[in-house]
Amino acid sequence: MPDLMSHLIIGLILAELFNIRKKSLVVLGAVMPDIFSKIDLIYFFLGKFPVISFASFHTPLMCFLLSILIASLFRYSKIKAVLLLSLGSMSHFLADLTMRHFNEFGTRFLFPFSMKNYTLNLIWPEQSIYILVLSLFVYLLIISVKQKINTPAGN
Amino acid sequence: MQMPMKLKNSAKTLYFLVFVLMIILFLYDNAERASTAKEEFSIRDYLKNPQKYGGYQIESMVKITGISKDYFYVNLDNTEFKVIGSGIKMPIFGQTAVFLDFRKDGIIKLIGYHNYNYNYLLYIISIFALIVFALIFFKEWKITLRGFKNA
Repeated sequence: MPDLMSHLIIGLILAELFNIRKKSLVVLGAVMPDIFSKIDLIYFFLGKFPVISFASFHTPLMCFLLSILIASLFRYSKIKAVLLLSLGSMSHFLADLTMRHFNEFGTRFLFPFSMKNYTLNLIWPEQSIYILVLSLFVYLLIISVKQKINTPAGN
Repeated sequence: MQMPMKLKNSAKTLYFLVFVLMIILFLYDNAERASTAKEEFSIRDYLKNPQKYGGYQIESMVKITGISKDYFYVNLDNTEFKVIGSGIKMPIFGQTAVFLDFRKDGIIKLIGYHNYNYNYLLYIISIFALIVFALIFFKEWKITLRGFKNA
């Protein structure tokens, strides 16, 4: 997906659904795969072949390893932090799986064991704006339902 | 609570090993890309000798530079070339993905194309998302010399 906002909101939805206190760790995990890998866009705008590519950061294994390093920066349970970051990055890869391409793109789920790209070819990347609107609606719905449940009866 | 020295050292070793593994994977991916790029298609080689380098069907993000009735011009890797195909439209505030047939007779034919209309708008929203992320993050965490702690 080209937009980080959809990934961020999907991360927030998961954090709300699982009642996670440290929502920012799930959200960080959800945006993490795109932070480094999108550096490659600079090559596209310059019309050059990527000499050094950061695409490997857009793979589950690299994100898991990055999660371990990032978790070390927090004065918080390291295992919990890795789990929350991994939950976020998994949501990212599942959302990206819906993206449609002609033939050669997708996510390398099995990197470094296989360089094959996987995709379900459902929607074109720019149509993720619909996912953004839908996920925002779902997030707001969850928030309002939770608020209603937590409001004492009679108020 | 202080972490025992032995545990602290093994944690440091683990982080070091993870870091080294990441560097190895990063280098491996780039080496793999460089080796396949040499074997794979290059538009410059194809334009020089279509007979030798043709016979590929490739998907790529391009910039459309001109459109006529039955053909159009695109820019790929700073190289402009003519593509046979009709009905193509300029993208609106976005990029174009083309699926092209680079034939051995030197003719480049359009198989399919898709305009990522308003895609640049999504990039702008993405920058905004980073600001939203920073707000969420620093609501929960405070930066200290020893890492992030509860805000």
